[in-house]
Amino acid sequence: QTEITVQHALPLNSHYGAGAAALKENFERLTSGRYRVTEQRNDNEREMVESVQIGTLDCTVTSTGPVGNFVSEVRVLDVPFLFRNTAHARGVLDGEIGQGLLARFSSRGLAGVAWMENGFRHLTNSRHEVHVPADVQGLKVRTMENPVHMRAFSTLGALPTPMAFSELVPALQQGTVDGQENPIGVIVANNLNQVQRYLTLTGHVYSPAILICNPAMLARMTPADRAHFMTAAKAAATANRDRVTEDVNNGVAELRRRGMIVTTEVDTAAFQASLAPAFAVYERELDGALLRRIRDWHAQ
Amino acid sequence: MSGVMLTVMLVLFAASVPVAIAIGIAAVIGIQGWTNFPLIVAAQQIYVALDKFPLAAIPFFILAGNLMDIGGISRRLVAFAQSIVGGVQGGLPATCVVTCMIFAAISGSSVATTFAVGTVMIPALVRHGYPVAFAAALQATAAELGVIIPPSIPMILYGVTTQTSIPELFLAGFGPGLFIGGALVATVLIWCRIKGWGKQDGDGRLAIRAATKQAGFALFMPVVVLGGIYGGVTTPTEASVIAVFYALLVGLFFHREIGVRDLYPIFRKSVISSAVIMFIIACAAMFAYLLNRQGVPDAAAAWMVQIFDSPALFLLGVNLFLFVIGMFVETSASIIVLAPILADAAGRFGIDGVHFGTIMVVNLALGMITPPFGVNLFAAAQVAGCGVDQMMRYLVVFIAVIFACLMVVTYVPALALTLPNLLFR
Amino acid sequence: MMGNTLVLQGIGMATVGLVLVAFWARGPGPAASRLRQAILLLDGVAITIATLLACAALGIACFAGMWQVIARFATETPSIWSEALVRTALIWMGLLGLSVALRTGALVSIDVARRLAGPRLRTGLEAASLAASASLMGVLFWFGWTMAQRVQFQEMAGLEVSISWGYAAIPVGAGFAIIGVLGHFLDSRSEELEAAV
Ligand code: NA
Ligand code: NA
Repeated sequence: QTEITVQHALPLNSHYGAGAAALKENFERLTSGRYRVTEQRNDNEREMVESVQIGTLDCTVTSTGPVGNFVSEVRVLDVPFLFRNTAHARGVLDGEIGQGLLARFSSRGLAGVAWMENGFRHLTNSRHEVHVPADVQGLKVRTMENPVHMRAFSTLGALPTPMAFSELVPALQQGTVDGQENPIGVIVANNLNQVQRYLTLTGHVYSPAILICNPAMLARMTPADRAHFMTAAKAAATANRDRVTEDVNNGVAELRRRGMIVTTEVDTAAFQASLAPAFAVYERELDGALLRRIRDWHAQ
Repeated sequence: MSGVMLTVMLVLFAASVPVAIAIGIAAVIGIQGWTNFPLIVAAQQIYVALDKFPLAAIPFFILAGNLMDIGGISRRLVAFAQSIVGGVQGGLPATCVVTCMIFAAISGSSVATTFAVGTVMIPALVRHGYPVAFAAALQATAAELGVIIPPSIPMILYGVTTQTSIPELFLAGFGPGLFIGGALVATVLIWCRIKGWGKQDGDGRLAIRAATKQAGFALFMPVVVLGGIYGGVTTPTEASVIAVFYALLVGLFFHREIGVRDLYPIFRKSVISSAVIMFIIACAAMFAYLLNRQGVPDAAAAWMVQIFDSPALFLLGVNLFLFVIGMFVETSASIIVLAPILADAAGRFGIDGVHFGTIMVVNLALGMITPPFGVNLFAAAQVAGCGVDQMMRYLVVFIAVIFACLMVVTYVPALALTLPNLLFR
Repeated sequence: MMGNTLVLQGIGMATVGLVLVAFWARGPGPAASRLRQAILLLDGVAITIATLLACAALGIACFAGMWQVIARFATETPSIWSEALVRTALIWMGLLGLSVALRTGALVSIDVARRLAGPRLRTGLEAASLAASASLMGVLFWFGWTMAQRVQFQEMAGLEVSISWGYAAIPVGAGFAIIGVLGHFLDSRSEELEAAV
């Protein structure tokens, strides 16, 4: 029996956990128990990707946050308002463009196996309701340590403050920052409603996740087992996305029930217009042609 | 394999090899024998362990403490504490405890507290006729308040390894710190009555006003640091940086007791202290990584849930276990390796993470005064110039008092949690 | 793992060689004395450099940390690089400072045996410490160097340089540390308690 370890940063009962569980269940069944998949938690995503690279970890499910530092092409996906909706995002990543990005991983000693997701990120804050770009002005917003995200918020006149997730709740509590942005599932699971009064469904950026594995580990499998692994990975992606959809559907109602004031009507076009200077920079610094291909994508 | 690792580690401990080196070698042997990983993972885990922003507070608090300690801060704090509690029989030992409580609010370390306060207090106690071994034992014991009252290096480590809010842990230290300080003051006052020590302790002390004025800048430092954290201005790490610049400005321009030429020795000393603790963190992290990859924390937590019937019994078991560990193992290494395992189990028993962190830190602080390995004992023995064995007859009493306080901290959660509940929940 | 074993054997042999040379250099005779002087000269220069660099790294970390606070409040443009710089500078400070700590005997140990031992056993214990420290530093030097090369195409978030610039602190620090433990064996000092935390 061969053991495969999968690490990710979220609890077992989460959209990553759902993906990992589906991977385990399907792969173990398809290989009649010749493989055993072990799921572990690790809160350091950079370390996990690096461990997959040096061969001390078989697989990881991670957000794209640290991945851009290993495979820079992935950074295009961080651009705000790149995807119109979930169908657009999933279609692009499952189609030619997404698969092309996955192919880039091999030159960095990684195997990009399948796209998963965290879903769209939304803005919460403790000051006031946010409807239009002007409402964001002057807000101290915790962002990931991601220059693309930070540029977007500073262009809108906010004060982006990069901070480790573990420091976020006390920082919101103490008012070190006024707001933060995360997918609905994360907001619900971490009870951010206790420290944030206002939620606006900005959907300002789509946050993909990705299953990355060690290429040598995959190469040791028989072709048949590798095909089984790919099948299981697809099932994992489906389970992950189903869970994200479910979390969004239940989450907004749950947050309202917990007393948050949720703004659903957002003038997305106004936000995009305010971000024009940032978009010009992204076009220059990232792969502008690829950005346009992604924007122009339509389902067949 | 675990047998080989443990044996190697114990043999190296016994051979007086530095604790961190012994742990590091055991971890390398474990990686080589237990896993089929390339050993570059050792380098990776060292980097991962140190590459954390909240940990940056440790060298900053050490540097701030050293800057504050130069040029008479301790002397001023002693005079201040003496002006308040020094006027009764046994007032001098009580002053020692209260000074440690105040210095603890500046320093994150117990040994630093032992040296800073002990160099002033121990000679003063001996001059007033107290046995030198009593003075040393008292100083070693009172100095452990250095890690219970915030800022606290062990609390930072607990927060980082278990993803617990450091500001909440800091707040939770106040109640137990004041309580233990009070218990120690009561103990020495009664002790002095029984022995007839210290009838002239109150002689020659300053008036409260004058003493407060003298110690003003030192007393204001905790306000700057804690105000920064709880006023929503800074994270604990940023507060530690502000503490550095505050101490530097006060030393250079207000007290004028630090010259530019003193900076190099202060920095060098801070570098060495920080390197010592960072290397322990690094080596313990390699060890913890190995345990994690073997699934030990999960198995151990499940095992504990099975053998202990109730949270109360679990806490008693953990306290006795940590008491024994604290006799032999260095505090930071214990936290890095054990905190994730024990906190996980505590969570399954429904025990609050901040409360459990406080219990763990108070218990391991007790380990700093239990032989054979107790850093406070070594430090106090050096300052006093007496042996640890001479201190034992007095230490037994102090250890019993602290253990009793530990039980109160454990079974009266409100002592630790009232402040964090008020501010955060 | 096989690749490890060969390197570990090499490090083991190098350690034995180092301990033998160190013993000889501590002994009597003009040749031993000359070697001792030479090693201590190298040690003096190397540890001074390490101390200065570590102090500079601590200073850089202080200013970067202060800038982070100032940037957020005074200039209202939060800094992207300050946090990464603080972390990286402190990693360098810690690993360079390690050699100074080893040189001055500042790492804490359970030293009951050393205090009770007679002169011969004490020398044996010191040799054991030398061997243990040098072999662990050998491991960190070799595998730290390999790791720094291995990750050279990974970018450090915030500073936008290769993360090898961070990882390199491990082999560089371990290299200085080997000199430090050798110097400590030949010219023992103890600052264990002044520096303990
Ligand atoms: Na303290
Ligand atoms: Na102890």
